[in-house]
Amino acid sequence: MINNNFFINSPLEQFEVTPFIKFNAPILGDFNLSLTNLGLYALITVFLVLGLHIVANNSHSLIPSKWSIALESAYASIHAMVRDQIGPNNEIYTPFIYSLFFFVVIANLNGNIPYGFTVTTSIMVAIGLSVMIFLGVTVLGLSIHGVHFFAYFIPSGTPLGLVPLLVLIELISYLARAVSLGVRLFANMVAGHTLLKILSTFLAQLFTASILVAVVTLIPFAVFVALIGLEIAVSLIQAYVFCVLTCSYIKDAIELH
Amino acid sequence: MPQLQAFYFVNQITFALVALFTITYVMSVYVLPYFVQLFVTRVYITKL
Amino acid sequence: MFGLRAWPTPIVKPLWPFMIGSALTFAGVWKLQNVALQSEEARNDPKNPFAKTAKSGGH
Repeated sequence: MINNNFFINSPLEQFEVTPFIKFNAPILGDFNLSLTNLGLYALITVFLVLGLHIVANNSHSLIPSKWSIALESAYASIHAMVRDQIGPNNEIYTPFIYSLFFFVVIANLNGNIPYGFTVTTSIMVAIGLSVMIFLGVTVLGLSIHGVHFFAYFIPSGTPLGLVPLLVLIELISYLARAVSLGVRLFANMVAGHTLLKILSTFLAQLFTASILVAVVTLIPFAVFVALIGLEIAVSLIQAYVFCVLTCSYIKDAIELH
Repeated sequence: MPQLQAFYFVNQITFALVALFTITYVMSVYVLPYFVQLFVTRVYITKL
Repeated sequence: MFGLRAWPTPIVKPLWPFMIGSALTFAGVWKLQNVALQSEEARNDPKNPFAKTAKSGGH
């Protein structure tokens, strides 16, 4: 018989932010300083990113070791991406894009470990990051070009009658960038983890039913293992897409296409 | 949907932004110039 | 520290728009949290960490 010792209420429960150490002094209004599971995993991400770069350091030797080949090629790829997207005289954004890439990739991969919490599945982190990048890019464009920044919304060569409609459409598509960048990351992570949770719940019940059912369940389990591989690939690809689009938005702000 | 009814919005965004800017600071001051020095040294040794 | 020296990389010079953006995002999230906490269902939620302080302030 199926013996459920624990209650699973919903596959979305894995995304709840629960505090470990509550710290509820009413300072500055509703400022809540408690250490939550998201905070713990953010600290784990910082520790892993910085630890990876310290351990794979190779102590200034010119011949790379196995670890430092991976890191050097990651640095070269991101540097090439920044140089191609933003332009060779704007390479100063490389540390920011590099840190953003490693933060998102290690945060996503932390969630692929069983029972790990993905920091980017929370709305505030994913959409907050993209709103921060959107506002930063707008401030950057306004500071470089001043009022001429609004010429971005009129593509060159439009007939004069179409300009009001086109400005409205361009403005809406520009504002949608703030949300779409974050929602792309958020939706991919939440959908993947919810699917894995639902399938693993079913497979766990099937595996513990009887020996014959357990042997037959190996076939859906192979599909499940393939889905985990897909999740790992999605984690890497979503981090890469996030950074490529950030570079593209910075280029649009600096050079007004 | 638990992400929407959380009461820890400020907590979440604080941890995320502090983590991102800590990584950016440590990378740009300590780690990435090490890579630049390594690549430049390799160019100097092979090309000059 | 850990075999790496500190280089004088400019941090504020490239990143000041994103610092302003993160300050604006933080302010927006604070206002959103305050609005969300005044709503009706947030008061009755057992997981609400601010319920105790609000009740003790009311009594």
